[in-house]
Amino acid sequence: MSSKLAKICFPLLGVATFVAAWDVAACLKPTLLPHSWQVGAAVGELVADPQIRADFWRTIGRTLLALAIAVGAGVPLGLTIGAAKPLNRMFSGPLDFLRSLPGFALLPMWLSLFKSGDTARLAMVAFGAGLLVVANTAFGVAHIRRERVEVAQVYGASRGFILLNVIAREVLPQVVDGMRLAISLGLVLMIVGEIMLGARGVGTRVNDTLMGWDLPQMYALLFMVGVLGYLFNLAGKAATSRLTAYGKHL
Amino acid sequence: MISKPAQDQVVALRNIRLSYGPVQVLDDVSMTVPRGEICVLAGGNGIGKTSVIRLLSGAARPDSGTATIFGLPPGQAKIGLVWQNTYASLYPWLSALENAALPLRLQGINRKERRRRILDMCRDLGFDLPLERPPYEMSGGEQQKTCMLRALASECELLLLDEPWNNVDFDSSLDLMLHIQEINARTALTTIIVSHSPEFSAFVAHAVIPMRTKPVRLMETDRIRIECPYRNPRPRKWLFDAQFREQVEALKGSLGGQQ
Repeated sequence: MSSKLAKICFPLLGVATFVAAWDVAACLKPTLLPHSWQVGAAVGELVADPQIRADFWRTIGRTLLALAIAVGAGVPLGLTIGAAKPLNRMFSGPLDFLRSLPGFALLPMWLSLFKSGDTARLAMVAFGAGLLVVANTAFGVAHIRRERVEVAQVYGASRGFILLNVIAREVLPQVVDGMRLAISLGLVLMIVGEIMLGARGVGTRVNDTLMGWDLPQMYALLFMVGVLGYLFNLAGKAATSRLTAYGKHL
Repeated sequence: MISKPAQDQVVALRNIRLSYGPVQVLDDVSMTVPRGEICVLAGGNGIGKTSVIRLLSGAARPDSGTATIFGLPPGQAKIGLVWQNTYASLYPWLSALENAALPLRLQGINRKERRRRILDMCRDLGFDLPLERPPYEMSGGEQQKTCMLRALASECELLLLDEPWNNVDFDSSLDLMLHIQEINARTALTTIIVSHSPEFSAFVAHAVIPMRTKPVRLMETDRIRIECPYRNPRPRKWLFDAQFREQVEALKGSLGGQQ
């Protein structure tokens, strides 16, 4: 088989195997699992529904806002922690500890701090995604090649030049990679936040379909969320390889 | 009585002490390299040769003592440097040409002029480099030549090379040595090279400063003049000369088996 054909055939074979396994399971437990064609039909209905599209845009908008906060706060913090060795030593342990906590487990803390559900949800997502950005940025800064900074110093570069043209370029691949991971995590946390705290969006839609026991619609929504996460990840990977093709060769 | 050269005619370290945390690397180091000389700092791995290069490039500050380069402190002198790890000193987000042209860019010279000057330098030196490629698509020898180009583009008065033949094969090393000698013959560019190889040192240098003790202690008189009947660039046949072998043995003896 030619490599081009294999590139198309194997993923399709993977999807077909998954759908077949799903349908076998649906035959065994029809009350809990609708057939794939029932889910497919529900996806068609949902895509045509303008209310659902609006709910997706709400969730995407909230996730992007949280991500903007995560990047805005996380990159400077990561730069600071990564650049100063004592700070790096001080905070690498707590950072790893916080990253090990499930993001939504902190929701009660955010609720007690902010009172408003919208703000608490935004804080939970921004914090969870922000930790990834901070950790990746700090790692990038801490592993900058000393020689590359010295080159610029020896040839008379200003501090501004070194910051923008050496340090920023060295760290960029790690930051972009952190953002790619953060957006996927952010989407998951946002949907959980919507399910737990309400507010119109994909999460509440999923919850409503479960409460109404409309399983084809629920699985259709989950499928669409999965596609959305997959597209976010693809866009992140494309951005990584376009902006930072050199990242693999640092 | 032999008169000492003026301060603006020498690279000089006087009573330098340098330590990294609790580890003392240089302990009372004094040395002088006159303008126009190719000098090799020879010694075993980890003895402190690179620390001298870092001092001269301004990347490290001594605990005590003074370093001057033609009368100026290291940070103000015009220095070209080829790092031991050439790849780590190149920017992978720039092409080889833009890497080589970095000193020109920092001088505010426009892109077109930078390109012209680098191409002219390549022609003069006989360097055939894939200048549009990023460093990670180049061989070790090509990366090294890019670093050399960058150092020379800075119009430096002192060229520092830290183990330049570390990551390249023998032919590329010999090629590089001949280029260094040719540049020296043409421009009298003062060059300090770090090496642990007595053979390469005897082939390329006018003088060798052997580093024997750890921490390093050096007096100004601790230098060995390489007697060679040929002018720079020295011919390859110098490698097979009996006088060359004698000097290599003498260097090995003076380094006390550290190389």
